[in-house]
Amino acid sequence: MDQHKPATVVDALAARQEAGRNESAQAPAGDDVVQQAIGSQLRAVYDEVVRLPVPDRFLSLLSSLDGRQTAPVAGKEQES
Amino acid sequence: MTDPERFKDALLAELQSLRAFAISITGNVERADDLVQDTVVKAWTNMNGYTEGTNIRAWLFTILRNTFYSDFRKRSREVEDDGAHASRLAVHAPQHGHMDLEDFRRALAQLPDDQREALILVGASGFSYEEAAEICGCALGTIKSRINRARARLGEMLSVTSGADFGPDADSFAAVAGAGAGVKTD
Repeated sequence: MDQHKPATVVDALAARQEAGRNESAQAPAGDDVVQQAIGSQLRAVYDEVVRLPVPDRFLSLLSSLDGRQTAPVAGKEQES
Repeated sequence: MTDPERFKDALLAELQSLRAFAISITGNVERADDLVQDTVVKAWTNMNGYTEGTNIRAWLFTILRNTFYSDFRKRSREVEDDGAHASRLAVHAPQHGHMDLEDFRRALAQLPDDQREALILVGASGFSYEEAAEICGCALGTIKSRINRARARLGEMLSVTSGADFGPDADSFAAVAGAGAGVKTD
């Protein structure tokens, strides 16, 4: 079903991401098991960071940039 | 002209990714947040530099990375020296981190900055090699070689430290890594 067989784990991962995180898009890796493991652990480690809650200061910042809703965050207003 | 409302929504949607990337290159949550804040402000003031329909995450990552290397890095260098690497991506491990990823986290932290960055961009953030090359302002071949070296290096380090508790793919990984110290750099 895949157009081409990705040569590496990172290729496979990139292809997967593009394919909308579809598990079945992962290519059979053959002897590339180590690299697959590296790929999955890398994503696991990184996803922990991605999932960290975003501090409120950024929501306030975006609101202030928008020029509505809330008052500008102290001194950070650069819009004109 | 970029529509401000849609642009703001896009920024909002990318905050988590931006923050994760910032943490991975600064190794420090507070500094990462300052970096994200500067990036958001810069992106907002330059929103017309963004071409709608192109990858906004790549665009934002580029701004963030450039900001880091132009503004933040000097400061970082003054504050921390050789202890810096050890903390990258390990900073917040305590709360949510899984212990079985600890070896991997440690190995990742030992990679040279440019290799770890390339690996994260392509292997974890979903960028193509081409996009990663653009974000890093380097040649495609450079990105490929950094990633190859990073993967080989990780394979090497983990084949030494891997044990039964080596994470979700422990069985297959330990088998292969243990059997032949399979992966080599050259």
